[in-house]
Amino acid sequence: MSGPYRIPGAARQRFGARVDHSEPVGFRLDGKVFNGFYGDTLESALLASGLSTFGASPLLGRPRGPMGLGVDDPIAVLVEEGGAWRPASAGDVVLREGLKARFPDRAAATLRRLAPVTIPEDRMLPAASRAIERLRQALPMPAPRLPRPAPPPRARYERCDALVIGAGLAGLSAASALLSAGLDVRIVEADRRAGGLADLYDGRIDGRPLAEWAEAQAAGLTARGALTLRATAVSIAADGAVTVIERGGLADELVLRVISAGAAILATGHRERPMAFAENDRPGVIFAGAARALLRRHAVAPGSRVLVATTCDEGYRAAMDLREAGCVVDFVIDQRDAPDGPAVEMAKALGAPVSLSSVVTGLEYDAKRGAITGVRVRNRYGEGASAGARILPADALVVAGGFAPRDELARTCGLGAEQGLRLALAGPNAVDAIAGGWRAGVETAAQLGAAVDQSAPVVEATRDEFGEAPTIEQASFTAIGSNVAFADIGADVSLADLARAAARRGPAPAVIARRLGLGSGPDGGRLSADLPSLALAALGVRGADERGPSAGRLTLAQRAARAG
Amino acid sequence: MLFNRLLSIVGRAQSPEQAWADRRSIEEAYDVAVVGGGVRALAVANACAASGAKVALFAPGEAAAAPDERAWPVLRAGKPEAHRAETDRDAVALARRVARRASGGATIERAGCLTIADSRREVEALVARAAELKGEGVSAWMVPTREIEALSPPLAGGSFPAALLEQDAVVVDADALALALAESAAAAGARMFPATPIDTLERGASDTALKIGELRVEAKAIVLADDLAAIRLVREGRGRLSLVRDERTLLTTAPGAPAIGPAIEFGELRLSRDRTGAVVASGPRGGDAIALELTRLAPSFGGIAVAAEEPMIAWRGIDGLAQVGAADIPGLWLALGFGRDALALSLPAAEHLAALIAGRSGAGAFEPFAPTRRLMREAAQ
Repeated sequence: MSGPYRIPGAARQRFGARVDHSEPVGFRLDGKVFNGFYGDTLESALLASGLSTFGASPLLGRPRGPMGLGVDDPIAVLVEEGGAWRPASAGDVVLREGLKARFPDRAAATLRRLAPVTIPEDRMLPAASRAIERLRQALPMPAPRLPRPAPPPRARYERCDALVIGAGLAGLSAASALLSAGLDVRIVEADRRAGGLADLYDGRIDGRPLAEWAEAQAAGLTARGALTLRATAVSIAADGAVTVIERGGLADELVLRVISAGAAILATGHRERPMAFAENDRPGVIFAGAARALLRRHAVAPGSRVLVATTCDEGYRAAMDLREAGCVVDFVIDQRDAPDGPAVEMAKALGAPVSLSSVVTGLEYDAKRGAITGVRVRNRYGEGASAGARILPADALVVAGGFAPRDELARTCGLGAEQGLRLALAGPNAVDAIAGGWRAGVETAAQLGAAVDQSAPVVEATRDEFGEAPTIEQASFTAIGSNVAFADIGADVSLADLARAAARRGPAPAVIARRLGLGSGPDGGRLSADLPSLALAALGVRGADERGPSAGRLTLAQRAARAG
Repeated sequence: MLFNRLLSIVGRAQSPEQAWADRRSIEEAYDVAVVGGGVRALAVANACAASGAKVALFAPGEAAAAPDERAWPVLRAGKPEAHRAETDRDAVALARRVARRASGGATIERAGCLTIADSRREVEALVARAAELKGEGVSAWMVPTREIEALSPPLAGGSFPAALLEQDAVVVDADALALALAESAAAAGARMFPATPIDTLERGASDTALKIGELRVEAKAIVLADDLAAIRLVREGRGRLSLVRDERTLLTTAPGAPAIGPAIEFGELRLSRDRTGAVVASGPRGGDAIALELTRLAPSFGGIAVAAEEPMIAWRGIDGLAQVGAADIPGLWLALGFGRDALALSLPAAEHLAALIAGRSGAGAFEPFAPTRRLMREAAQ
């Protein structure tokens, strides 16, 4: 067996917290019948059915599968709703009996695959559509009638004392500090549930498991009408007003809200970072957190023989979960020379074999079957007995390249604590999340003239070693396969493209990003976190970190609704 | 696919000259020092280097097309400013010449330009302008509502009374043009230093010099070709430049927007479409106001996502005209205040300046743009 699968009965005790194994659900994708369980998302049910390729990349038409967590890695599908097809993301669609879905029109992707752009700096419209446009300009043909989208409802303007963006542990901690100061608090969360990744980590807050504490806090906030789920903050204006897109209702209609708060706290957490090696975009490569979420929430394993590549302790946690779920984990490939965090100790106790100072350089991929068959690994310093590249057999690769803060909202607006915008992004673990959130809450309350009379929640949880950023050596920009080692996976920009652009354009991050279309993929650059700026820094192009991924894009009609 | 691969091999064979120089290799003296990093500055460096001068370019930030050059990458469109028809006539030929030599190629598309009237009164103004343009040898004429829709399908249903069409206007890839100019300048021996802001401008008894940190760089001619840098340098020297700011915002949509045909002017709004199919719109009063105007102009654009937004300032002289030529300080030359049509003026202005600096006579069409025009008028009176 190869590829993703649903873990069988015996190992289900700890896994699949969100699915009901006794309640099967049937649905259709592209006309074919699939089965899942009640509580599955479209994404997890398809993976459980062994499907690992979910679509093609926009520029090169390469097959792609799910890699990151839903918020950062949207997978475009169309879902039928009362006879009409509406676009959605596979990770966000909850299964129900009789659901009909299809992948979006693949004509453009096929066109790209037949005539790929060899130099992404020359990314242009497909040649066919350019020819049609030119023909239409030359001949007196009647103008095609373009569909006119329904205008979105006018933006709703609201006021409150304090707005918390993100209802993970940090956001809930900040909100409870602000509430105890007697302030009018709103909290918006992009996901369908509050709590963030609390259900993926062990530990206790005020004596209760993380997820239970988060659920209780969220319930309290919901009762006060302060918590809004499926509401994504997309921009912060210069005056501090936060624009939020809220999805809701049966037809999933969008509502634009502009919230002017006395102060705001950004508690958007951290996103995982991919690693840059040849073929790092293949279906079957998955981030450690996403793999653990699929296991723990939906009892879906990425493959039966899995390798883990890591630069931080999260990789070891994934290895432990995978072993417990019955997957074979031959090696944990750790870039670091001497890791000694608590997770590493635990993994050693469990007996996961570790290869230190090692990095993945590429994948063996069977294009016909659409599956990984092996992983190329070598010593980072290229010395000793393990200097030569080895090929290890595997059908999935879990990567843990560390974490990057989701701070793009703050970065683009240029506001700071003096203007009432605080970050609660202390660190990617429960201890720092709760402490950082509480601190931001207390400071915000003080700025608004209120005092917090409670003490911070007590957290018992392990704090990982911070880990390293994945190294990108000079040689990797010119190595064989550097043209398929992607720095921005969503936009199909590889290390070789970056190196070529930097050589031609000099130290000019803005124009390089503009020409290569960094961050222009369907994910808005979020899937690749800060990897492009790390790669550009390795090329000697500084200042690229000021750009980074976008928080979200409004359409022209939505922008117009905000103006009117 | 094979063709593409062949192309890429050929492209690699004639790999571009490394255009950018390291800050450590700045020398003590040059014939011409250009301050600025946009198409304007690169064009001046290129033109001066081509006439044999030893040239250095110091860009305050990135050496690439500036926001105001990207906002309206259109040459030979109808000019709200006077005296531009003649200078613009050369722009297209000059751009084509640069693009032909570029290793990566730079798209130049003869798309035309539509200026849309929103009311009867505007129609009258446009009719008058069409007559004026025709007198200056520009092929421009009025088109009725039905033809507007045929030329630019997204405008269907807007029922605008009429529009002015300028047939020969071209849309240029400004970033590619900037790179082509830089590579051409480097090949002619110019040295270009990106991210090298100038600290002060020194005026001695007999020479002018630039200070970059501890470095002192002498130059027989210093060309200020970046408005913001020039204002800072000249103000610090207690001089005046008489430039006014015109603050606008530049919106870029996601790639793959429907074709708009010609570039479009609609009131304060200006639209063009680039090679990826992204619509580039610029206008005053911020991004939301531009989106509102844009959806009023073409309601079918409503569903297109906005990919980027950046502020831009288009500087122009207080009398509305650019300043191209010698300043009243010896050794100092200006290429400033190009206004909203910055890109169109860049190449002809660079040729004119290079000729003047080399001691030849420049183009007569640039006389109204001489920075000393006010002084000369006063002297004449």
